[in-house]
Amino acid sequence: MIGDIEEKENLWIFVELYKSEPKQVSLELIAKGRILADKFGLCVCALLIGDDVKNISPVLINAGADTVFLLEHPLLRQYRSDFYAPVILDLIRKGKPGAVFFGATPTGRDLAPAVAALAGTGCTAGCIDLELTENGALLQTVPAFGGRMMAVIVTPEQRPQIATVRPGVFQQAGFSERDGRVVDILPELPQAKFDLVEFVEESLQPSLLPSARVVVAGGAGVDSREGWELLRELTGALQGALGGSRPALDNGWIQESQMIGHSGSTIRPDLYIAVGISGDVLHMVGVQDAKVIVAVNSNSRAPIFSRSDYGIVGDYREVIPVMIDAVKKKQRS
Amino acid sequence: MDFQPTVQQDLLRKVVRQFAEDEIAPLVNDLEITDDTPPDLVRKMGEQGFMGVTIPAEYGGTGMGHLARMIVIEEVGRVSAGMAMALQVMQMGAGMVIDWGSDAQKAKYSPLLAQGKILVAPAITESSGGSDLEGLSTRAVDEGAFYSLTGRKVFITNSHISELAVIIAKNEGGAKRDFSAFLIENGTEGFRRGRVERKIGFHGCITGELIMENCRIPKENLFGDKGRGLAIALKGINDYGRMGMVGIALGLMQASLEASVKFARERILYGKPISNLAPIQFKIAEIYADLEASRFMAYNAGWLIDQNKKSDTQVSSAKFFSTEAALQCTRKAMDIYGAYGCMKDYPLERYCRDAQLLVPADGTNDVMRIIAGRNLAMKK
Amino acid sequence: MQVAVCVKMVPVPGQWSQIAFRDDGSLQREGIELIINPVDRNALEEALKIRQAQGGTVTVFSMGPPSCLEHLRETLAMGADRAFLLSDRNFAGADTLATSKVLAAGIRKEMPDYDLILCGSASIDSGTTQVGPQLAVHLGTAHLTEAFSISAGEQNYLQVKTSASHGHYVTNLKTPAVISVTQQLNKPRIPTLFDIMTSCNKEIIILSLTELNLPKSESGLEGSPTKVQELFFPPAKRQARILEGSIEDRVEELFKQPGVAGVLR
Repeated sequence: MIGDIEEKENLWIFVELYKSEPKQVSLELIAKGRILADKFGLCVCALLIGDDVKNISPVLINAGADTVFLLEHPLLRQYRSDFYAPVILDLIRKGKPGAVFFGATPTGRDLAPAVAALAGTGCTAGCIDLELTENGALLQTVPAFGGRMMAVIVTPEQRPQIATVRPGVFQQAGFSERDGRVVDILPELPQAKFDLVEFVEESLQPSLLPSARVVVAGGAGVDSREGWELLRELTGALQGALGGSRPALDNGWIQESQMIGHSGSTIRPDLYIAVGISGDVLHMVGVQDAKVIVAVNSNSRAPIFSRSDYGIVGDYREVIPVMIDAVKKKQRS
Repeated sequence: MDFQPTVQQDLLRKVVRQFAEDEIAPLVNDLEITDDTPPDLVRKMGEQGFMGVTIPAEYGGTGMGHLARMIVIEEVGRVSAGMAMALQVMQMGAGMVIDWGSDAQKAKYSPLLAQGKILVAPAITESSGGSDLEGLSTRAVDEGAFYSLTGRKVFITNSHISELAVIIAKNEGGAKRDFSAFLIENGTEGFRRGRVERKIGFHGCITGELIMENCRIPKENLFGDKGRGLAIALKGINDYGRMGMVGIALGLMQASLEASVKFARERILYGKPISNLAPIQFKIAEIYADLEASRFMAYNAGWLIDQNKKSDTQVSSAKFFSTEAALQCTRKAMDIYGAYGCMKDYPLERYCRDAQLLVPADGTNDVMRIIAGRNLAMKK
Repeated sequence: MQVAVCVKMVPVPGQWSQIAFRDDGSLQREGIELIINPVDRNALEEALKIRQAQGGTVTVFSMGPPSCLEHLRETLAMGADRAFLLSDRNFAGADTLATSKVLAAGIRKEMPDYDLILCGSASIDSGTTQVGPQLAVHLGTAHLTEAFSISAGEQNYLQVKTSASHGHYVTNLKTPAVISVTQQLNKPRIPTLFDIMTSCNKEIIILSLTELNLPKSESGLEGSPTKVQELFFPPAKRQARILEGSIEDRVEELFKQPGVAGVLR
């Protein structure tokens, strides 16, 4: 028993840290947890694990958490599965939550399934929606087959119900000064299974994407230097920001910070122009809140056309130059 | 009758397709411009075992056989007809050495040929033509210690990238059909390469001349028994050359079919994809039917060769049927593309140009009809 | 080093549009071609490289229906020494926990002396990324995910680089261990015709539930804590108006639209 909160099937959120700050997705999950918990009178508990991280607690409480479980230890400074998974398991056994949410980040995807396997319960990967029913069942919506299909996954018997949730699908909440409590827990560390040598920071150029009003993005269909030059030119003419989908990153055309979609940025521009992007849900999850989406694609059956507002079916190499000319002409007039 | 491909055949197709898409497809545009055979690609195809598909394992090949060879050429041809042509003639050269070479010749050359480390160019055709073998004018004179060859071979595939040639020559003073075959190594005195042709298609595959002027050939380089020249040429052309053209035809038709279906689904006219239109569907159905018919003829002919059964009627029929089908299919696919079909940005015009070369190569289609027709109508 | 590689057969993405629902709500996916999950090839390639450098064996494990058999032949052609197909009617409907239990049981039975288990980081059909970590839990070993570099260190140590959100970790890992790999790790080889011939002499062994010493209650649908409650095609929130006419006309029309014209000022 930890505190006096094991009575109910509460909602727990694993808080992922970067440079002593909670990641956006963790705050989004706390906010979503708050909404679900309020419906049924449950508590939202944040799992804050690290070294000297106590001062983060108020941020989590203000984001919507009732309780912060604080586990501090010098060896927990850096995330590592061999320590974090057993420590969380231990806590789950004591606190008996109804559900535990993790961000579907590299860390969350490494940790959550291990915790679930240790606890002998289910783990649903990469959720894009969560609902809670009266009897405490979590309805977890995940895309399958590249988003062509959606599945609602439940964990009927075992508890907790564990889910990883994609960044950017829920809105962060801004509560001012909420009350909450911090429960200090002394973690019992198991034996190390590996030797974490170092974390190598990769300096990323600050992305212009989140604040841009206009975003132009390319996908697998834009497969030449000339093609990306065209997109760059259009972006410049529109004074926007250039981004891309996962294939564009994999093929080396854009940098990590320019990737839009699941495991990349989630953006809300006024105008989003998707060029040679098929419209996989993993990508569209990052732009679903754009005001207007324009798709340019040579494949009339590409899913992007049922996820955008205006479509031009055609070869981007013919379409984009015309767009560039038209933008320039409009600006002159 | 079992139409199920074997596990090995399925795997072979998958693997060759993957190679063609990863290693050949990125080069196709360059090949169109340079019209050169990339040595690096030849080396890779050799390492993959493409040249040794009919060569027995004891000589460094896989011995998969002629039906398997058809699949290899088809999959390479689906991506590049030019590379498929170069490859099929490499296979033909390697195959002829296994079929006719002496033990010493096989020991010396076959393991290298099977893995593409050296290439042999079969050289039969002359300016007088290739099918009228008796009209060939290259002469071989038996000088006692060596043979002396004089003549000019034209339209020789891989002429300028091969280390060896098999030359068919008339035995001086012999009877009308008294021909022999000779192996000539590069650097042999009196042996040189002539002009390189510029073709309508098959870009990336080199076609040129081989010239012999009192070329002195050691006695041990007689290829097959003396006087067997015509048999050697005919078997090589039947089993390898013509079958190779059939394989390229299949590749071109498969590529045309895939391109047609893709374009028809993507191209919007009056608000709907043109794949909804019956005339487009007709063309696609016709391409498919031609491809399937050609395939069955091709695989059957390959199987006959693998069984050492008589196959010239089947091979000749498959050759004229499939290559003419490929001419029509590439044309129909181009029509489906409309004006786009005529643009260099799309592969259709290349398919059409490549298909033209299928008809005259390795015996014109009129000659194919003569062979099949004569066998069917006259022989009992 | 004794390396096990876990692979999954997935429907080829080009044919996903043919996947439909039957009347009973289940998925109709017959006739859709299977391929080896692409990143699983990278896992196999890395195993082959390790064998090349250090000796040892490479064994492939896959759970799936009998139709996966022919695809396992491809892993043998790439160079794996042997392959096991874990196949049983009772395995159907497995989630990642049940799948990883079956794989763990297969490895425990056939390769108890394994040093390293390699998996692809995610499957393209469901994208769960969970089997690697869960396999490690069942076998009681360490796990790392998102590995883009693996190099041999001293003795039984491997130095592994794994990517994270803002950089990468460098970890020294003592075997035995489970590592999930990414496509950046290497370029999978294409089997040669010689490899195809050799693969025909190698074994693929099918193991069923009874041979794995696994209770039925821990495999397949029965052993899966998660269940699919509902499958549906997502409703389109937007439906593009496809613009018509010449490219110039279409672009002009586009730039007249309210939401677009506004941002062009």
